[in-house]
Amino acid sequence: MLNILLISDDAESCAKIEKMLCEMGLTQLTLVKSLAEGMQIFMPTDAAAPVTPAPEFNLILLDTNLLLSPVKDIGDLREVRKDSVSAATAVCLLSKDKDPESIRRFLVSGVRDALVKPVMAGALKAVLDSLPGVGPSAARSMTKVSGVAELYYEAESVEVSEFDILIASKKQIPENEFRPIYGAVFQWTPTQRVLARCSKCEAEANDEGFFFARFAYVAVQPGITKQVRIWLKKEYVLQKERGDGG
Amino acid sequence: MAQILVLDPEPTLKVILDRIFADDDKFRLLYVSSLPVALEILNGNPAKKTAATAAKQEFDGAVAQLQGVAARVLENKEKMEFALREGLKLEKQIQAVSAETAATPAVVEAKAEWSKYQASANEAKAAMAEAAQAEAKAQKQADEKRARSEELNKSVPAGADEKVGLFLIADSFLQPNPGDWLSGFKKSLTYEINSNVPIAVTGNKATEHLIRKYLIPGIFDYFVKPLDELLAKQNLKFLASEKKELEREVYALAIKSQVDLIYEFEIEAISEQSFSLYSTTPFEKDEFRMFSSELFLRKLERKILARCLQCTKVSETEERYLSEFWFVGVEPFFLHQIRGVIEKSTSKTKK
Repeated sequence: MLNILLISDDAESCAKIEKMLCEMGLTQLTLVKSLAEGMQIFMPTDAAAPVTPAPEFNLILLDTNLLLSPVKDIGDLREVRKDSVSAATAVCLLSKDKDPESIRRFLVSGVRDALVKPVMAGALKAVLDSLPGVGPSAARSMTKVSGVAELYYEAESVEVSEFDILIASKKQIPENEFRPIYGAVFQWTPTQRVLARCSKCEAEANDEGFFFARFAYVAVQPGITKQVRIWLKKEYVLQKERGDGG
Repeated sequence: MAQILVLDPEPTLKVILDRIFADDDKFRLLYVSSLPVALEILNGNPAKKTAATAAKQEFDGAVAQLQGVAARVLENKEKMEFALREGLKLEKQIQAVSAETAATPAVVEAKAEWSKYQASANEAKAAMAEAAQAEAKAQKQADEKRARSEELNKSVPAGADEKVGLFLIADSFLQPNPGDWLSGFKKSLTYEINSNVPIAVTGNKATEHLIRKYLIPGIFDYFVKPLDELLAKQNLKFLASEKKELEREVYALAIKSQVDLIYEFEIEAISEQSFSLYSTTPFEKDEFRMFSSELFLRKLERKILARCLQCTKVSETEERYLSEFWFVGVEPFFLHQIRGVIEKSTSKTKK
């Protein structure tokens, strides 16, 4: 019997999840409507009451709608249960937005998975089966396929010009390596990605573990550089108005 | 001065490049019309240089010989003039002598001396005439050698035997396979100074996947025509410059925004919940990563989030890892797509 904590104010989704769990034979569901209430389970505020150990949960389902600051909120949730039996319990997010870019920012330390609403029974079961010691231990049946996956390795732009971009990356980049770079900062191209060559990368990371690498744009299509200049001018004006300098 | 060797027949490119570098005396443009001529420059043009050097040496030899002959002419001329002068003195003395003293030993001796001077003058004159002929012949030979040397030196292309900072070549010369072309080209470079000359390509390709065919190790950039002048100026100067630290006359804005560096990896296998891939870098267990693939065709740019379940090094000799990733945030359309991929692959295997 799995014990699940569901933290969500979405009544419809909660009802569906409850029904699915019931059909799976799992009825131990604790439902709260806010993150604060969820944290209360692990940290009763009434000092006079006898200390009741919080139950052990196998999974915490957490609605992203309740998170204002993912890193802080999920960190706080982890902090309050650190001394409880649920210290290592996996957190699975419930997201109404299926855009991976939107979900990505919630995948902070402590999060294990994410389900998109409306939650499918199969997807929920897969998450439950993947919990340690729960699902079948037999290896998954994999099918050989032929294909290429592009990995989007996160980095951050530091400085953008009409010829190149300076980025901060946790990974050191070999000089003269060609790399497509994707980002909303490249809204001047239809695909928001540009091909670039690493013209220089610092040999040492800074104190925060970032390597600073400069990438020169390669094979920029005619007219694009002009768009970039227009965009940069606009950005410059906007920054001035915001008082960001530039 | 950095040299940029350009092999691209398009005339408008020359106009743009000349404009870009018009006021910059730190760079020189060399335009060639064929790959063999480009190689002559890059290789220092040894055959023609050897011939030109030999011709120059022959010319120098001919000049030395001419000078020798001319010196002989001069020497004989001086001898002749001396003999004539001395002979004339004696002749005057002899003529001034009276009939009584004509037979005196002194006068007889003087007459003999005068005869010797005459003979000497005649000899010198003959030698001078001979030397003058030889001089004329030597002059003609020297003129011929000079003309040949100048012709051969002119045929040695400008810039030969000098370091080339950048070789800019049209993509049409790299067909059909840029990798094979580059390999053959590198083997043809015998002049050590230019053996690692940076190469950049010009062309009209519009899609990333067509352009990336050319971006192999040894090729540093691809300039899409028509060139953006400022961009070309910045990048060409950087590539051609030895120091690689040009003063950045670049206007840049501090913009903090998330970007993604895109890496391509081979997918090994797939299931409804996960997929495995080969990579050149390891992944940490439970780390989340964003992927995109034709196999994950979805409405939102084919991207999917995934969590690393495990990562194993599969080669002892190279950095090669096999990792399994668990799909995160899956919705019905995606699952339907993955099932279709699995069915298709399974039926292909059965066939």
